[in-house]
Formats: sequence, structure tokens, C-alpha cells
Amino acid sequence: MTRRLPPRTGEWIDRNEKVSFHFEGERVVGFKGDVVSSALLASGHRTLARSFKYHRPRGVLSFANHDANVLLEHDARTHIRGDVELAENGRRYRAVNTWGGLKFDRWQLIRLLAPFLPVGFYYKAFYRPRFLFPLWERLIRRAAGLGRVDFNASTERQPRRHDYCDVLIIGAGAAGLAAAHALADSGLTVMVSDENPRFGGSLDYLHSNDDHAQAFKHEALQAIETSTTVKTLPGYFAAGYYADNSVALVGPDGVLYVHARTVIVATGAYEQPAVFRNNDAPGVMLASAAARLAYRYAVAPFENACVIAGNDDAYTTALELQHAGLSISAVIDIGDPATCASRAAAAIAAGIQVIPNAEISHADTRRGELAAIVIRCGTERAEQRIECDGVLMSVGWVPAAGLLYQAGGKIDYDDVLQQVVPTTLPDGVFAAGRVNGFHELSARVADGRAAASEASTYLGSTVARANRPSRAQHAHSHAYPISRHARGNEFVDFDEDIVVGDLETAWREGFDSVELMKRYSTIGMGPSQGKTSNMNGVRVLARLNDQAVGAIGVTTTRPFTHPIAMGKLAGRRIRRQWRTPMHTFHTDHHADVTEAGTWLRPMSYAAASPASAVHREYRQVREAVGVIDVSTLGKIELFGRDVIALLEYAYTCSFDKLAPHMSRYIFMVDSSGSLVDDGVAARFSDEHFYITATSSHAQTVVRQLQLFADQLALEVTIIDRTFQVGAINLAGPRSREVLERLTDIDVSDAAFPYLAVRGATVAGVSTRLLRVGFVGELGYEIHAPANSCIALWQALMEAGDEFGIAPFGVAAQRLLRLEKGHLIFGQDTDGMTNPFEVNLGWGVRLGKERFVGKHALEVLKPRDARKLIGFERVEESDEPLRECNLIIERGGLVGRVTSVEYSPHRGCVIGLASVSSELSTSARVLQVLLSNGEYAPVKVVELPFYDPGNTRQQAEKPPAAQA
Amino acid sequence: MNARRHSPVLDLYAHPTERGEYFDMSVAVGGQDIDPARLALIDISPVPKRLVAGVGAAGWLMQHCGEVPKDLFDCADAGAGGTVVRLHYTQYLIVGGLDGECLRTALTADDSATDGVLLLPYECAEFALLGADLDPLFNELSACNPALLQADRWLATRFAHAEVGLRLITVPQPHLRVVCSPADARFLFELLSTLVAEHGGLTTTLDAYIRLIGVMT
Repeated sequence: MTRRLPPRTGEWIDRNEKVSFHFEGERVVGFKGDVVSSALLASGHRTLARSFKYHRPRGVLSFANHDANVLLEHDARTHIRGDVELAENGRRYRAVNTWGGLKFDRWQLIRLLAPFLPVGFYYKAFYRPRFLFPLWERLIRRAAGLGRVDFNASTERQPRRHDYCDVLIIGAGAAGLAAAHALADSGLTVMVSDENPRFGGSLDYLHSNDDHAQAFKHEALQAIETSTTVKTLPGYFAAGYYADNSVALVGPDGVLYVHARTVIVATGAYEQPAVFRNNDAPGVMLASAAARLAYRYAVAPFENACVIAGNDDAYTTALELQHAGLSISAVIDIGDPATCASRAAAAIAAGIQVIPNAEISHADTRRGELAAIVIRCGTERAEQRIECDGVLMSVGWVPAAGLLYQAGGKIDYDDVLQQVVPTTLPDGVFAAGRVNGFHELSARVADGRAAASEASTYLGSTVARANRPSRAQHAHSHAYPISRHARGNEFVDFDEDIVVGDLETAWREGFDSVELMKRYSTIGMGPSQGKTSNMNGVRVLARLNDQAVGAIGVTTTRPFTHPIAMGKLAGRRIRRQWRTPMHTFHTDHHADVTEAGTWLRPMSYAAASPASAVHREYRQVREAVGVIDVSTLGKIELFGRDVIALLEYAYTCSFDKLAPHMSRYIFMVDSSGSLVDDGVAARFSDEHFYITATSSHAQTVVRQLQLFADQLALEVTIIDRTFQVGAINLAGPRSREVLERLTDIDVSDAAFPYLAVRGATVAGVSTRLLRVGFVGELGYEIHAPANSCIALWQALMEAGDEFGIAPFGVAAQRLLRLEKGHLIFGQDTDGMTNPFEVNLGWGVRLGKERFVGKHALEVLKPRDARKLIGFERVEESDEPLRECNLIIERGGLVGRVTSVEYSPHRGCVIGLASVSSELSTSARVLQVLLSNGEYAPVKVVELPFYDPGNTRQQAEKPPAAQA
Repeated sequence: MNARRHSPVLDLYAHPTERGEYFDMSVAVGGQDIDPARLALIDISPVPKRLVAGVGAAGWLMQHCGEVPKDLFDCADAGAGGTVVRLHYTQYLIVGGLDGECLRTALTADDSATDGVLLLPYECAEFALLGADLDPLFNELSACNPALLQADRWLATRFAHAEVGLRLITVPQPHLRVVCSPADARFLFELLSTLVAEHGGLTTTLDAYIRLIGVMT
């Protein structure tokens, strides 16, 4: 540990416990509490990673979560930010995206090609010759990237939680702590979060030797800790600001959505780099980074450093670092020479050389790392080379205002401060501290207290009234900390390796607005999201456009403020699935249970051989009796004086002739006449109906009916009973014999005819029986309270045992209904299908005074554009017909296959297809384009394929099997 | 035991729980006693319920239950855990008490649809969640502020994306009752059970809940 400073109070490392890990194959020892970067710097490493595009050596820049210079990976994770990731014992870290390791990364040869890879080169190259594009793509993908995801690594999912408070304070630096302190005894519930594992912000490293500052920090922390209404969240960064003051905080144990009544944003500011040749060399870093390293981790990242000063803070930091035992050989002041003497006095008194009125020429490197800084100074502007292994940049700040933007705040450029500041904030949102344009410590504290006062007033509470301080009348940011060099390599964006010349190229090519330049050059689009690059980019653009910086504007800031691991976003695996009351039976009987929307439905009852199971189940229903769980059907109770008026309006058919205790098929269209849903309506009385809807549209139909009832002021109570009522379809020629063993009512054809509805006790369970048939056989839908259904199902199985009863799944049901020519909405219809196109014109009563879609259907009826036809495949082939295969006629698209199955009854492949009406004549041969590009002829046939006389579902006695 | 009704989560209970019958519903019994200091999840789906709907529902309830909740999601307390909840403008849910007597007349009225009153069975699953601090569990499952829970209110919200009705029961100790559809029951119960275990709690049975509540002999 060659660069570790002596122990000091407040450091974040525990020197009693060592941490050992490997970096690029080399063993590194740090202390508990070290982040990876601090342990590496302490052990003498300076180059910690390679850049994204040119694979230049990179070291620490911000030593915070504000840049992505140090991106690492280990066996389990990639995209690890070394500056904020605690070093773990035994880990084997390596830099991302190298070929041959960090030291001898072969990809650095790309630098030789740099003249051919200007900004936006990928928009102009690689598209010719076309056949080479895949090769280029593979090559670029391999060379670029920020690490590789190991798909075999164990997944780490953390919970997502919600929490609530009156005041959320984001940032626990000076301003945030002042606000929290002021609110600690207010009685308001307060949450304070900070991205760092400890509260204090810059009080830890820029004001460590200020007794007043430390006393303030101590007092504030004590007040927060003893308060019963303040909750602290160290290690949580605010990732995004959403509606109603909801803020996503990302912490070590997952994502926390905080719903706050008010929010105080005290997120501070990002220190900005100066832009000069080789400003990315390891050893060049932000001054605040060096201070964080020295005071939090007791690391001296250099032996001898120069400070580039563009503001007062540079001198404060230089003195703090000198106080910590680091060697600062010079402060190179690039700021206003007229005011330099006043800000430099303390540094000069402390023995630090100050070079006023200087310009940065470039940094010299040795083996890729910083060796010296070359400046121009004095009246002659002569070049002066200063040997150093550290250059600390302190030239300005950009408020960390992303959350304020997202909250809807207005942020404008202040020419006096040379930075953006919030000018208008939404109600209930307050800014405090550096993010609000205050840099002096006393002003930040006062601003924090004022924000607390305003927040409490907003909530109708009162804390000691505090007024906002006045903003300083001088800048804390240099107006143009950018030095062009004839040989280039002045990096503006470290993530994307964008230099000043790239921005000039983009500008010359016409991308002269901030949004266009961002997208063309990709400035600010890397993992740092422009935290250390956007402002300098705007300054470059302003100069190119010969405009004021404030006139340029800034790009839109969106969530997330920092990248978030996918596992944190995903949260705990919560997959809502609806189970029918018979679910356990299905799984116990080896059903192939498949998701159908949110429902889980059995497709067939032999997962090992589904095809043979489907045909076995098919025969069961055609020849004897089967049961299918149809609990997923929508079930809606309608009760009230105006039920019929509602149904007449919502559905196309008429209900006046529907007798009590009878049912009918119904369907609904929208105002454009397109089919929406279908089902069955059962009439119990003039005021009481029970209707079914398709499984996927039940809730939609309920909402639609409620909307119509409200719009028409109808007296109807609408109850969605989909989940409360289970349903079983008992189908097959022997179904009546099974049912009559279990019920107390007469189920003969005379007493219980086709389409009749009865209330009955079946196997001791109070049920509703609907004699309907979707599969084309004698059948009964038995609707029963959900929690009684499994008992009822088991009773049916026992009663039907003598007849060989067996369950059948959705796959067999689809085949059975296809033979009968029954539609499945959403499969045999699309979003434009009207009833006349699918042979449902009989169910439209245009003579009704009004119903939804009436006018559209009046127009559509004579058009007769498409028809749903039945077809048989003419020739056998190994290439199957598939649903959605297109039908082609004379090279043009004339239709599509909507359903297709092999029909045991017809002994061939049959299907339904939607085709142009003129092609729907019986016996016509159509050509279906198969998935392999070949054509298969099919012949149009009359529907249905099975039992056209409906003798089977209306049969009094079991007919001879036709299948 | 010959119950025609089964709790939708009955088979999710592992051994050594047994099956018992409450209010004509088969349910798991024989679980561990509840420690009020620990989180506990209990399937209390047998708690009797009935839906009263229609323009005449309020009058019917006044006649049979004596009190009608005024506003949407208000609860009219009938004692012993029994209550009447206004679920919709013309829909009320009657929830029975564990003593078997509370609101018995209303709960046992036959299904009917006359005089503007529709009486229907209300099928659902119901779970009780007990423990000193339910907030961490609540906050992971719902975006709803647990501070909104009130003893006299039915909170219609979502738990893990599933629509639920929540009721805060205050005696003998504050706890939560979660009502969900039978279709969501298994998913929600499995998830709650996992979370309760992660928080050091246990999943136990209705008889243990009754022993704690102390209303059924």
C-alpha cells in the first residue's frame, strides 16, 4: 500500500480488516470499506481501465458515480463502477472491453485508425458493399461495448418497495442536512437519502478542517438520528422523478419508490473537467476526486500535483489537500487575472506557488500516464512544462438538476454564475444548495433551512422561518475552460471518446443545435449521461454558433440519473397467473397447462404426446362424453329495470323474443362496426340476465356495459362474476346420462331443450345449467360457485366413469369447434372484421332503433368485401398449413388462413380463411403461400364441416357416432 | 367431512396440517399457534360472505342487518369481525363473523332476484396477515400507503398486481384481512407465504387464528 495516508478521523476505511482481491491477475490488498478504485490507487495503480472507442488508458476522473472511466467486471457481474463499488474479498476484477488485458490491450491499435473514424463515421460507412455489413457489425460489436453479460451467472433480484413521507430530502450534503435538521422536530415524516454510504457530502472532504462546518455536521446528524420522524437512507441514489412526487431511489437492497408530499432536491453539483490535450490521461482528475480520495479513503493519488484553477473552490481544495499531507506544487489559475490575487492569497500564504493568467497547452504522458502539464503564462505566453503525476481540475460546476428537470422544473443559464440554475419549480418541489446555485458553505446551509421552511409551510406545518440567501455575484464556473490544441485529443466526453474536433465536425456538417449535435456525435449518451461533458459541449457549440451559452439550451434529462442493474429494476419475480378452480386437477392429471392471457389453461392431458392426446380427447367427446374447464369465460350478472334496454344498445341482436330461461348467442361491435366480443345471454326474468364473454375480454365488456349504462342513465346493476363463478362444459352424446345422475331436474329434451337455461342442484351444488354447444355435440355448461367447482368436477368424473368420461383440453376443443365452423374471436376475426364478413349477419338486427355500431353496419352490409370460408386441403404435403398463412391470387394478397387443423371427421386438413368475397364460392381452389415459400391448393367448402343439420347437439337420444 | 366447498388454497398447505371444515368449507387446520410478535399468514377463506345488489339492496340490508354503510367502501361493523361493505353504488358485501351468528340471517338468505334485490354467493379467498410490523411486506406488494388503512374502511387496491380488498381489524390485535378472487388466490398465497417466511414469520391455519381471536368455540 504505497500511497496510503496516515489514519485520520472520519475516514471510511477500517484499517483493522484487510480486503484482498485480484485486478487483472495481480493481487491487491486494501482495507475494509475501500472501493475498488481507492484500493487500486492506494497500491500504486494509475491506469484502471480503457476508453470505449480508442482504448486509451484511463484512471480516476470524478471518483464518484459521475463518470464511467473505471468500468470493471468480475466473474459474476459486468459494468461495475470501480469508484463506488466496495472491494470484495477474493474477487477477480478486470477492466471491461480489452483484448489481451488492460496493460497490453490490442484494441488500442484502433487509435491508428482514428483519422478514418470521425464522429458519425458509422452513418457514412459499411453499407457498401452490402454483403460485408455483417462482418463489420461483428467486428464493431466485438471492439466496442462496455462489458459482456454472462448469461450463466446467477441472477440477483432484489425487492422493489414503496414508502411514503411528508418530505423527501434527496442529498445529505450541507444543504440536505440543514433541511433535515430543520425538519427533525417538525412532526412531519421525513426521509433523507444520499448516494453515498455516509451522510455529509462535501463536508467530509472540502471542509474537513473547518470547525464550524464539522460542528454543524455533527449537530445535524445527531438531530436526525434522535428524531423519531426522520428516516435515513444512506447509499440510495435518486434514479428518477415521476408523477405526484414519486421518486425512485436505488439502494444496496433494491429499489424504493418513495411517494412524498413534498421533495427537497439537494443533490449538489457535478464538478466539471477542463478540456485540453490529453486531459484523459491517468493522473488527471477532478480536484474534488482527489479530496474524496484523501479524506474518505486516505489515499494520495499522486506524489506531486498541480491544480488547474478556474474558480475559488480550486484554492480551497488545494489547501485541504495540502492539509491532508498531499503535495501541491502549483495552482495554475486560468480564471480572471483581475481577481486572481484575492482568491490566491491564502494559498500563497500556505506556500503554494500560484501561476496567474495561465492557459493550459496540454498534458504530457509517459507510457500513457500523466508525466507533466504544459502551460502558457506570463505576458509572453511562453510555454512552461511542469513535471507532475497529478493534475487536479477545478474549473466549475454543473448542478445535478436532472431530477428537477424531470419534475417539470425550468432551468436557465445564469450569465453571472456561468451555470444553469432552477428558475421555476413545480408546487411542492424545492431545491437547495449547490443545485440551486449556492456554492459557499454558509449559503448552502441557509438555503437548506429555507427549503425546509418552505416545504413545511407548503404542508401547512411550521418550522422556524428561514429566508433564501442571495446568490453570489461572481461565478464559480469558468466561462470557457477549453483549450484547443493543434494535435487534438482534447476530450469533452470521456465515455464516448469525443474530442473538440468531433464537435466541430458535427457542427460543420450541419448539426448545429444541441439536440442534433448530441445525437450525431453521441455526446452525453454514454453511461455518464453527460454529467461531465454536456456543459462543455454546450460551450463549444455556443462558440461555434457565436451565441451566448444561455441561448443554446440543454438537452432533455430523463430517468435514470445513473444506470441501474436490470435485476434491481425487475425486482422480485412476481408473475400474476389466474388459476381456475380445477387447476389442481389439471396439474395432477399431467395436463399441458399453458398461459392464455393471465389464465392458466390445460391444452391437453398428456404432456408427453400432445398430438395423440388431442385426438383421443376429440374422439371422447364425439363418441361418449368429456368435460372441459371453461371457467375462464367472462360471466356477468345484469340486474335492474333497464337491463333489456342496455343489452339492446350494447349488442347487435334483439332480446325481445328471448323467452325467460332461454339463452341466445350474442356479439358486440364497436362504433365502426368491427366485432369486439361474443358470448351467450341467458334470460332469467325481464330484469335479470346472465351473460358470458370471451376469456380475454371479460373486464372490457363489463367496463363497456357500465359505460353505456351510465351514458344512457339506465337502472342496471352490473356485476362481474368471472372469478366468482366457475364453469364446466359437459359435452358428448352421453352427457345427458351423466348429468341426470347428479341433478334433481328433468334434463330431457322436452323439459330442457337446446338453448334453455335452468337453475339446478348438481351433486349438491347450486348451479346454473346452460344447454349450449360450442363443440357441436349435446352439451351443458354448468356454472357454479368457484369454490364448489372442484367438488362438482369430481362428482361429474365419478358419475361419468361408467360412460368413459375424460377431461378434454383447449386443443381438442378448438378442433371440435372448427369442425362445427364456430368462430374464435380474435383468431378468426381481426380488429376490422364486421359481422357480415364472418357469416354473422343473422345476428344483426338493423331494424332496431339504436345500438352501438348500427350506422357503420348499415354502410358495411352492402359492401361485402371479405368472407370467412371453410376449406379443405387438396394435396397432402409434409409442409403444414399454418394459421396466418397468406392466400395469394394472381400474385396479389387476397386473404389469410385463420384456423387450420387435421379433421378426423373429414379425414383431411380443414380450416377457416378470410378471403375476398368474390373468391368465396364453393369448390373454388385457392393457393395458400406456405411458410417454406411453396403454394398449397385448398378447396372452398360449405360450412360447417360437421353435422350441418345440428342433429347432434339437439339430439334427444345419443346418435350414432359420426366421427 | 363432506364439504362441497373447498378453500382455493387448501392444497398449498403442506404436512402436517390436516383438513377441517368451517362454514361448509374444507380448509387446512392443525397449524402452529400464532406468536403475536411474529408475522403470520392464515387462510381464512371460510369466513362467510354474501353479495347483495340492486336498487333495493340498501333497504334489504336495513331490514336484515340493521345498518347500511353510507359511502363507497365504508364498512358497517356488525361485531365479531362481521361487517357490511359498500363495494359499489348498488352492491354490498356482507361478511360474517367467526362466531357463526353475526349477520347469520342475511348470510343464509336464499339466492334470489326480486323486488330490486339480487342475492348471490360471493366467492373469494381471504387471508389474515398478523404481526408487529406488516409495513415492509405491505410496501413490497402494494403502491398503496398502509397509513390509509382504517378499521371502518374497505381499501380496494392491488397486492402484487392482484385486485384485493383490505380490511384492518383492530381486536384483539391489529391485523390485516386480504380478500382476493379465487383465481388470484394461489398466486397471492404462495407469494405471501414466501414473503412471510423471509420476514421470519409462519404460515398457519384457521383454527390457530380462531384460538388467537377467541370468538369460536
